[in-house]
Amino acid sequence: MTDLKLVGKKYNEFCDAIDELKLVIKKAKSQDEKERLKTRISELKTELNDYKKSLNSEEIEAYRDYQKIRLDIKRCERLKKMDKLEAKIFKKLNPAYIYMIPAAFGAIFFTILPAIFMIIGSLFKVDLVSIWDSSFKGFWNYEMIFTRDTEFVKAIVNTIIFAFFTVILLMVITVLMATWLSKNTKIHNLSQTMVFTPHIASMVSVSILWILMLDPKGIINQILSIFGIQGPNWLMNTSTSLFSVAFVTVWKSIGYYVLIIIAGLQAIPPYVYEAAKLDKANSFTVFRKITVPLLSETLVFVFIMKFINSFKSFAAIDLMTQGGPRGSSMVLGYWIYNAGRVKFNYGFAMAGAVVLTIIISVFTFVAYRFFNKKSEN
Amino acid sequence: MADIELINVIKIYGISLKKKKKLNKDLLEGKKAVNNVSIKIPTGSFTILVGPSGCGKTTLLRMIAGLEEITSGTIKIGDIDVTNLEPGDRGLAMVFQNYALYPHMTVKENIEFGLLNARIPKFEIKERVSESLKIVGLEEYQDRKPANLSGGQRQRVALARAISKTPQCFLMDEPLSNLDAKLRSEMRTELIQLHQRLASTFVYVTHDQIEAMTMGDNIIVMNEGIIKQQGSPSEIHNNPNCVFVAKFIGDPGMNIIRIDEEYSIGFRPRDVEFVEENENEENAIFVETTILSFENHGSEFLYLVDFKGTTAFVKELSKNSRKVNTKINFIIKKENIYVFDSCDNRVYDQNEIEVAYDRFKACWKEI
Repeated sequence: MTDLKLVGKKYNEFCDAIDELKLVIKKAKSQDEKERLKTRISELKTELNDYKKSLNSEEIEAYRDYQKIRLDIKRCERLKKMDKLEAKIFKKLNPAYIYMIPAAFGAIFFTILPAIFMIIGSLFKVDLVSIWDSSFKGFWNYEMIFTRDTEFVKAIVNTIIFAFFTVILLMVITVLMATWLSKNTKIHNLSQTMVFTPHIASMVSVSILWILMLDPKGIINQILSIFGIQGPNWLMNTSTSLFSVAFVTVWKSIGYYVLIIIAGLQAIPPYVYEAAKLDKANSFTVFRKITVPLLSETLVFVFIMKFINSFKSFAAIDLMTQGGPRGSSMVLGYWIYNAGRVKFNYGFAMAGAVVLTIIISVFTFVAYRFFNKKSEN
Repeated sequence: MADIELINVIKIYGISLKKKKKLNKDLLEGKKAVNNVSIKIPTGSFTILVGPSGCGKTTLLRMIAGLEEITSGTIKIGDIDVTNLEPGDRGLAMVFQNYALYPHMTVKENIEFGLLNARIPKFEIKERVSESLKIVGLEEYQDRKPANLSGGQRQRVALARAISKTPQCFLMDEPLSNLDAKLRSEMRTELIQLHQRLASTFVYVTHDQIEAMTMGDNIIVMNEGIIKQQGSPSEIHNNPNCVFVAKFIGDPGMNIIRIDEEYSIGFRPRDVEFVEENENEENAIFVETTILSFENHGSEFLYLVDFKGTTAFVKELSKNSRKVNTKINFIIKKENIYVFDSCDNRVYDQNEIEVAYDRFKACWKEI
């Protein structure tokens, strides 16, 4: 036992000596002295190595343990220094600000500054090639898009129709589907997976699939023809194009929202349903008077999320109809892209984006207030 | 009139009646939560289902309510076979352990909901709601939501909801176990009064034997899905038919001492007489032992004493406690001794009792 302790003592003596010498080196002035000290250190190191080689296996183990302990002590000292530094900083600065930096960075540079740029830019006739040549025009951009642009007002109307149609259709389908899928059996779990699959697929592949299916000679019209119905050219008909695209976006997002609603359903305690059973409630009454009211918080969340997403929808329109035919499926998101990136009229695009932002905030605010009041009553 | 009758009821979890093919095999192999239970709950009784947790008492109650499917057997209410009826059609009301109020409805709406579904005319609903709220004393709370009520008040709302349905039978699943001790004893007396007032059948599940003894007039003791004994509180207490019932009922339960392979004997902690010296009384056993520990119950003391390797409880009505590790002497009279056989069943045969008593006496004297 004492032998092993001696190992540690000797090891520490060596290390202390080396560390001391290192400190001296830092203070040393002449180059010669430094060289001399460095050779002394390497001498000590070789001595230590020789000592290590002379140890037997048991002592080597002890030697390694002491080595570890020494390293640990050194690390602790380092950490202590860091802690002191941290305390020093946080005394003057609320740590919350530091933790905010990553999120704030994203928000400032990718949301707030561009938004401000957008608002300012909407008042200019923007020339992106030589930005200082842009000229201030006041509300000219807004005036133009509302009065001269044939498609802008149509796009607003279409966007609102699109949003309401998708939200209502989605809510009805998802709630019904979720009540059916919330049971935990093999067939239900399989269907859950199948319903969720479109959400994983990219909008591009989903759109291409549906373009083929909605073709005048596609599978949907073929099925309709079995029943003797002549299906329209879904995507190329002014009266059906918007609804066709809306239906596809709903189909894609069902899986995601069903999952959210299932989570909401599973949060409803089962005893409530048992009490309802004893209260002679049939399944429709249970659904209407118990499931839906208890699910309302989840439904509000789904409603607002989907509403905002519908206002922003772009990819499906771009891929399937490109706003056509004759602007019948033009929505604001696509109109802004079209004005900016296709026609290179950034002033118009920015003004359109401001209008879209205002519409989204107004609708979201109203919806939120409406549901909040409802749940309070 | 409307006795509840269970005939050979079996419940195995995870097995549905719909899969008839597998049933016979499963009946033999499955773990039975309720095992071949046949009981009759008389009209107007306050029946208590009591047993340790996991003994199947709640399952049994839920089967009567119709919330749990029955694997095999029949349930009758009155002359009607309700085995396959929906819960709402059985003419029952249930009070749940966690109250099971609808959180989004007010107290009034909670009570109304069942009545509206039963298509009772509006004016009668109004009458019933106000009357049932009056019974539980919550008239001024009718527009509150359950979240804004205390535990006791919620319990009362659940009771009012049950009362408003004027059922033939009330089913209660540990309704008091979520209340604090004082409120629990208050609600206990209220429930007893309610039972007298409504004069309908109460079926009440509890694991608390004190609740069972104080409230019920008909106690059913269950263990591991089997009915052990059914009878009035004093019958169950004074005349247990097996070791389980003897140990489970009473505070604390009966002392059971195994004397040999064949017999064990039992005596209640209260049924001992404390004496100073051995008076060699006829038909009594003198026990001389030491106190291992004691509990102070206020007016009485409960002593844990060494009993030939095992331990036993004895209870003394006294204001002064004895000290730990001191001697304690008492006698157990012959008439207070219960004899159980090797299968833990009660022995009623007089001759056998004699034999067991003699053996007990003999082995006590040996020491």
